[in-house]
Amino acid sequence: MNQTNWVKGPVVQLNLQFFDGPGDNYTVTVWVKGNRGTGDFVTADPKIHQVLKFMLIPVPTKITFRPWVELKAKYPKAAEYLGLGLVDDAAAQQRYTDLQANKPASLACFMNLITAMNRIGIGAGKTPLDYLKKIKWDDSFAQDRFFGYIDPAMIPAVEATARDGGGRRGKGPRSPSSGCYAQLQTDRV
Amino acid sequence: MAKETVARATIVLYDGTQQPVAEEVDVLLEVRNNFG
Repeated sequence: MNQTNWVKGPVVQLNLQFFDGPGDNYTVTVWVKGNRGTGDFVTADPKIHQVLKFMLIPVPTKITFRPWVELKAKYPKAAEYLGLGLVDDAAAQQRYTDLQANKPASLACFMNLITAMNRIGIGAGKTPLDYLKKIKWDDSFAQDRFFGYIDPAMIPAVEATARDGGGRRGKGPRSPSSGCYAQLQTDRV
Repeated sequence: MAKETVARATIVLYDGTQQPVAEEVDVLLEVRNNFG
């Protein structure tokens, strides 16, 4: 069952044929003018009425950042790690301003990664951020990664968490895969 | 009892601020079966 047609949104009802077998896996994709196409995989199951929530991202995409004061209030961890290694708040704000001007995509990725890392539990109520000691703000600070130095104590914590099958903190929804990942170098600092 | 042959799903569109899209929009919908 393949179909492509125009329908009215923003809420669309779907009927997916159920075969009770490998034919029950579908790919659903939507396009809305002025926005990036988006979609997801769906497994048909008559017992489950699935709700697919798709976020429309306008194109061309423009990244906008909150004022520094607002960022500190709403996302204190992002603000805290923007200031890592700096002497005061003014310096952190300047770094934030400079990154907005010179590396907006890298800054956006950084904030995504910090937010995600803050939700990964790796034992003893800690997250990877608790082990992050230094961030490299040079050319390696990119829109899909950043490099830094962590306390080596993070390694056994991650290994223990992996053995326990854990790694998640909080009750919120899982973040969709962003394609971003952190490459962290271990070192003593 | 006859076996159900249709599964239902609902697509809900959100804007970039994570709010449900309020106005009516035209959506090009593609549904592909991954098996065939």
